[in-house]
Amino acid sequence: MLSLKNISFYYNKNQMILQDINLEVKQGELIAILGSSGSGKSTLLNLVAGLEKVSVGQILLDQKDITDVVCEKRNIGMIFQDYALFPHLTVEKNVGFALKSYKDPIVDAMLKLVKMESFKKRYPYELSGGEKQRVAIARSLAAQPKVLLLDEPFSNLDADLRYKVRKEVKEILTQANITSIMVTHDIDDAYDIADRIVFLKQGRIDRIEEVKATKL
Amino acid sequence: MRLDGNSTQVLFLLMKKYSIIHIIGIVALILTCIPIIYLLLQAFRPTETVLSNQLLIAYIRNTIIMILVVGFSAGFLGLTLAWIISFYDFPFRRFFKVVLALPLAIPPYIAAVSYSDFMYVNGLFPRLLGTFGITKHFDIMNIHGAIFIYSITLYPYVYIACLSFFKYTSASFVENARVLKANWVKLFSKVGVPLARLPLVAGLTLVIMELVSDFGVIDYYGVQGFSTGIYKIWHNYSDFYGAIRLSAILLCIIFAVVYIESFLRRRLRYFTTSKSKSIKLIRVKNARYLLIYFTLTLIITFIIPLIQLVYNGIYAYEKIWNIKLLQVTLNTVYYTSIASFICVGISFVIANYVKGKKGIFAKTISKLATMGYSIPGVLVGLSVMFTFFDVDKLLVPLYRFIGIKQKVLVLSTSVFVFMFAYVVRFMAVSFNNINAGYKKINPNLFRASATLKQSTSQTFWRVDFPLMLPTLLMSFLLVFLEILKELPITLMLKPYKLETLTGFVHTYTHNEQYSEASIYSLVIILLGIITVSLIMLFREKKYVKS
Repeated sequence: MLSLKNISFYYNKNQMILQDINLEVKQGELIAILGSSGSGKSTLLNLVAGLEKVSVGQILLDQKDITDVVCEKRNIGMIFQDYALFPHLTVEKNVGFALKSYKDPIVDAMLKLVKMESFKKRYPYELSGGEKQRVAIARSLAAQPKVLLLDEPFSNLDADLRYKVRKEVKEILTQANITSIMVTHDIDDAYDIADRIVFLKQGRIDRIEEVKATKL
Repeated sequence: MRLDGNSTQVLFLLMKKYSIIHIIGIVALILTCIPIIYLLLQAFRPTETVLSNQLLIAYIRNTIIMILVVGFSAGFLGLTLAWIISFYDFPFRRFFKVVLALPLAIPPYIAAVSYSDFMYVNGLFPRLLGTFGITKHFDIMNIHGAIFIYSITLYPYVYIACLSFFKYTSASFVENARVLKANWVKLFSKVGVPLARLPLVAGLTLVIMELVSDFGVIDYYGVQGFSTGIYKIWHNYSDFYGAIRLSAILLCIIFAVVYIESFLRRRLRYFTTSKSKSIKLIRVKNARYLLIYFTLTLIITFIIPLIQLVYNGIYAYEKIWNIKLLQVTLNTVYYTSIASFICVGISFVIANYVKGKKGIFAKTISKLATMGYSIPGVLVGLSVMFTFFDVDKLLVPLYRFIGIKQKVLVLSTSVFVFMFAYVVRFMAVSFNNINAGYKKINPNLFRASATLKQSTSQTFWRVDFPLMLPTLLMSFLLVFLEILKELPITLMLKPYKLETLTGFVHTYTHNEQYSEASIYSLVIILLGIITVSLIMLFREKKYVKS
């Protein structure tokens, strides 16, 4: 479904950020990219989203080369570490941002999926960390992307909430049957919800692990 | 005009790389830079000039003296007032916080006229002294007077910069010093001054820029300075190239100031603080001396010039207070608003384009957008005027073709060129403010919009515009205030039939009709007060919660 072929990224050739990344992600699969800070994991998400330009290599989505396609036309959604909810819009307007109207039935469906129907008239500053995250997921899913990228989605949550939200996110993504790539530095996050874990080390893939096999 | 295959391809590539709104913004910006570049190129022409070394030495000496003394006095006044208001609690604190910014509403040349009247032989001040049996009058129409006027009208630049900085300063610095038993003198000298070095440098740079570019005060007080020198050499001797050479020297001084400022900013960056603990004001037990200091400052910087103008205005009130005054006021507001709107519009598009970009092109665009403010109004006026003289010469066949038979100077005497010069001069004010506003917005919001299938233009209107609206309004007010007070561009480029408040003040003052000039000055100050009050109000409000 999503293929990264020989991806490299650098600002100048002496300073490689990512080198020779090859990865295949199947439909409905959730991949976790695990690595310490500076390992290039967030850069990898930015490349897939189209927020940065690939230096070398190809990105294919459903066999179609999207390497040079601009971000807004890639049909890839992203959930940011700080959720990036628009502060001047209510929850429902945030969720309906990518749609023609926020009165579109998809908005209500997504809010129901993330159990935020009763919050739709609220502004982001009136929400807790976990609530903001659920709105961010609903907003991304409402745009009906083929792939969803999650950049350190649980890092802003405290330990108690983190476990609960992790389960909820997994449930939502499974229900939506969406292909997802999640970046994290927390090994528990990765093992708890991912199907496969990609270990990134100094800009290269160190190894790939099947989580279900490990759990068994 | 037809485009060939290659041109169409280039255009297509440009459209693909930049959105149409960015292309328009960048083209508009480059157009505003042409006159300045054109003028500087003229400075290298070898020609005879009336500019003597003696005159040049006088200009440089006076300018350096004024920079040093005004820099110290405006810096001291602005910093001490902002420090006390930010960290101490005393009666009428909130009142003083706002009113001490109001001198910004008084253009320096109006304060100069007002004070010379106040101090003159039959002025209010000698008469006031006379009631105490003292017979003395003061001649302030010299360099000392100019220094005094600049200090009292320009200190708000330092005051506002320090006030903003202290607002986001952690209280820990002050509290730790108090725990270590520092008294108020030590607290100010050992904590306040080092802490405020960054806003002090920024504020003083603005003060120096305004000072070296000012025309009205030194012209009226007969002080030999760069702006008057440039104007007189061009106007009285018709020595265009002498004026340009003098301008080039002035530009060197200004660029030196800008360079020193950016160097100091880089070195002082570590002083920037984030507010980790809110400030708990220190209660002043005996506020008598503080209140005397604040009240005296307010009286000298704001109330005296205002009273003198009202006093003068009484004599001409019936003659001037008519429908014409209203028309001139509306004219001024109208043209000032249009120029401010254009400045904000272009700045917004440019700031939107350069946000988050680190390339050389983006850096050059940013530098070009901030160039105008460091160039004095006289020089901007000259450069725009001469550029459009040449454009007019080129366009004569076109004018004849469309039926304009007699006139040659069509564009250069039009409202368009008048507005154009304002935009060249003041775009930096709006650009700096909008650029700073962008830095306060989470960049992920713009990235999120792109991942939600929104194009650059859609993001511009749906995310940038609503989030930046308060900043845009603030920028509009700042530019409005600057244009309202501007004198040389108005004098040089105002179309003959266009009547503005500043034009009337200058004409009446030169004809020594001070009463008539006072009424127009009061209207400018009133508009200024409204603008400054709105600016102070905006600074206090948080419009977008995040």
